[in-house]
Amino acid sequence: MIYLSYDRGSIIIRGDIGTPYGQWDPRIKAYRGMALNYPEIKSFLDKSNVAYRDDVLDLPPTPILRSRMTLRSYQKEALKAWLEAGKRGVIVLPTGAGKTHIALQAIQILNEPTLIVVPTIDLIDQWRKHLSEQFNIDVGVLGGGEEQVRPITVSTYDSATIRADQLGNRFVFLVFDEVHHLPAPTYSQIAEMYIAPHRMGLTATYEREDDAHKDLPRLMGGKVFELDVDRLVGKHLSPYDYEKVLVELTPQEEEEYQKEYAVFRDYIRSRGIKLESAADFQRFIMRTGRDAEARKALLARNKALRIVLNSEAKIETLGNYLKMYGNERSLIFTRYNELVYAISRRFLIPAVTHQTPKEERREILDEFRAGTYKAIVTSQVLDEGIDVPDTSIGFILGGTGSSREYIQRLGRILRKKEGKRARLIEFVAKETMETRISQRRHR
Amino acid sequence: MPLNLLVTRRRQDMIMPVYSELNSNNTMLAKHIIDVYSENVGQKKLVLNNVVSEFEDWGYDYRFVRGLAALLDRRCQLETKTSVDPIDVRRRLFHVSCEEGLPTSGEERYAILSRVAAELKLDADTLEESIYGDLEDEMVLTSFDPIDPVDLLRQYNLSLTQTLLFNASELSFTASGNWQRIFRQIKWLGLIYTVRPVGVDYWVTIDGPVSLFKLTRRYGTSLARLLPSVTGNRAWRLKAKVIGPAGNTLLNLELDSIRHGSYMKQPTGEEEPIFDSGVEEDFAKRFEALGTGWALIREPGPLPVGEYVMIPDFLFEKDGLKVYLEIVGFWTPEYLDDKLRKLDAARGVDMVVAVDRRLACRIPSGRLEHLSLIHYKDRVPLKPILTHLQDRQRVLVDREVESVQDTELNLASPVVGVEEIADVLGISVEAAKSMMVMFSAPGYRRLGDIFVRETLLTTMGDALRSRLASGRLSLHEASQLIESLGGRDPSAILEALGYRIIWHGINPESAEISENRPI
Repeated sequence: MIYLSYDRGSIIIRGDIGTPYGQWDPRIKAYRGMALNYPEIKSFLDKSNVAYRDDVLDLPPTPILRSRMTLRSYQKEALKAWLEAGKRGVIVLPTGAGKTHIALQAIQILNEPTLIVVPTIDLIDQWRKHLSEQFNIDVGVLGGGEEQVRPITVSTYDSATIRADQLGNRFVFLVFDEVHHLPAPTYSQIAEMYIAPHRMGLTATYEREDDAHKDLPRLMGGKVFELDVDRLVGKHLSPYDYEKVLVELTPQEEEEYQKEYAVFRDYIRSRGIKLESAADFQRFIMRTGRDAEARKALLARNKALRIVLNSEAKIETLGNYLKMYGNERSLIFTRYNELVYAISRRFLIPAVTHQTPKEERREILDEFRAGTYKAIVTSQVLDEGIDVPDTSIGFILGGTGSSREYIQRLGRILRKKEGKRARLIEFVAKETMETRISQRRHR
Repeated sequence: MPLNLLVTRRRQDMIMPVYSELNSNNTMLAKHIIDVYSENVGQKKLVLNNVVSEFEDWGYDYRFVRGLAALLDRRCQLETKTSVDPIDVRRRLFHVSCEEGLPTSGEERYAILSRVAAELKLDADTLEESIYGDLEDEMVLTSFDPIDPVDLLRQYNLSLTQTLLFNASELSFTASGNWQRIFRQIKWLGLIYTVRPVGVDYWVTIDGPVSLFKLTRRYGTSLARLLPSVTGNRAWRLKAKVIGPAGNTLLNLELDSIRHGSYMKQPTGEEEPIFDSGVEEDFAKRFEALGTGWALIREPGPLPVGEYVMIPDFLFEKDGLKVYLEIVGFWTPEYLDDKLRKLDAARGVDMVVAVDRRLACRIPSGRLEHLSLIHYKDRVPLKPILTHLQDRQRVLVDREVESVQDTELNLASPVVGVEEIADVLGISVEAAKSMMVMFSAPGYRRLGDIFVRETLLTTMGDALRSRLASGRLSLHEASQLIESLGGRDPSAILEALGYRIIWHGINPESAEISENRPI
């Protein structure tokens, strides 16, 4: 007789035979397998006709989920591909193409305990709203100070990781929103420590710069469907214009910038350091721990970058644009919170950062959706997947060089609305290091 | 402490935190920074941050300075000190600015500020101040709990070690002292331990369920939380495997109380025994007050039982006898299950198990039959435990008695007491006492608990008789006489020689000796 049980993110297999995916654990004198491999272990036992008792699952009863939802043709295609792949795998769709609807449909079809994992608190609120409206049920929430597990639960990646020990055997279906976060050393534990055989990943950007997406097929099944932006623009998404505005620093900023940048450049050149990839840069950061000169160079570089990204000249330019487009719904993105607050104070525009109290953040987003607020200024927290409908202008006042961030920001303002043509306006300081960062974004 | 403030030194595959020496230079720095916090009570947090960052310019490692500041931040109370609610101020401002169009000139902006200020009956400057008064940088330091500079440095060193452990995949240690608490904490933190003997010590290795499959930092935070329980002991040694920054190297950390203890030593509560519960403390106090002759040892260290290891609460020791006491308090069902599994495995161990009465019905009858089970309510009763200890002693005595039954005593000195006999035979004093009547020694007479050589008795008898012939003899003098001749236990000898002690009152000085002749 074989006896299967769940132990804090793993499966304990007691009995006199080993199974594939089971490793001998001398600490407890039994075999142990990853929760991830629960379906394989079970199917091996089924096939080999061995008597076994399975106490792994601890599932709450799930209410019958009913809704009237219709999917667009490409959404149906995506769902079909996922079902045919054995209810596993990643669906890649541009932001604004309605990934959430596909997942909601899948949740209804499967009708089993489901955990939806999302990267931000805003997304928790949004999913909760969709789920409770669609199915008329109480939705569990983990994260942002809430701790309530229900058959259908929405969690942050962090909470799902931290609580994996206790929750790993309580869901059959996992939905990962913005699944490109999953293949990181910490978050991949969610995939490994939950037994759920059914898994759906959603993202607009499957590839990661560090190549970690190569682990996705093991963690949840590979890419099962992909649709790129060009096929959608015009039909389901609004077409957009892009405009780059070169801004000249004020003379004082220019002088300070040159001074700081020279410190950094001289150090790099004198040591023959190359800074071309993320790995190069990490090595340089490590060096600053040992070498006081390197640290000075890094501080000078950061100062120079701050001058550029927080430039007064850019705020002035933004003012001019706001004068022209002040009545259209717009989002203003910056790299640092410092600039968020400077802009918020200067133009009396609501700001959203990770420091914004939760209630206020909700209120601001609601007022923005309702049209009371015309603009929001934010650093990075809105980057992913929060519904901000009908925004027609995006201002970028500085971001990182990552192309994923760029796409997400684009997607933000591309929600479909009749007769709308979206504009994306980027302010780049002339002839500075920012010029290069901006180029990297458009690769 | 955040990972980016961690300072370590690496040599080959060894890694060490770079501890702050407790020297005057570092103590002065610590004191300066503490003073900055104390002196800036009433100031904005931003001001504090700026002053602290100035220390970095003095040539100290910025990671050290910020590490100290991070520890001091925890001792601060920050408050929003604006007369109006900043959230309300913002809501009003943003609404007005949206109604009237975003202000793109100074005049437009000032008009909006003034309008909202008027609504709130404030002036525009105060309003301006409070827009973001609730951001941490804008908050005011209202109170600060100061700390001794050396204690701060020690806390820093401990914190440094903990931060390094965030990246650990496993931790091993051995320690003298507080095992029980450590094991309970291991369990509570969801970790798994393995105990193996290394020489005379037990080493405990700790990781977690999924550590089996791959190196993981998952349990690092828990291992870090466990650290103070290990380093808080008098003597300890530990080894940890730390996953390198790139994730593909494994580094070794090795620390011990002799070389590193003083860096991290926490000032309070280390010498006092720490009890898990009042029940245990109460029991120890009452038992020790009895003076039973049994030594009571708290938390005697790991006891291997089958495939498990237990840390019993108490050990009673006497004459080589070892009896364990385990107190099973009212706890969760999982705790009880785990406890029962171990107790089941405790075969061949002499153990009393005191179970909280409220749990009694949860233990199936017949289970734990191999142990001696008692129930308690509120406090563990002494009587059944004393009875158990006495039984054990009787069993020992009987066994010993049997082993020496036919032994003929070969005595050397003129007077031999029961302790020496026990020693000669290698048995307990209790056993020797019960055997006295059965021993025989040629040329000796047994007087109560001693054997006295016949020839010595004759000598003493003669001496007493001739002394009595010359007048009254006090008990005191008679005793001296006996002891001067090499005797012991004068009253037994006097009685054996046929003398009687006549008491005049209770003072032994006034007692005298007379021949024990029937009147």
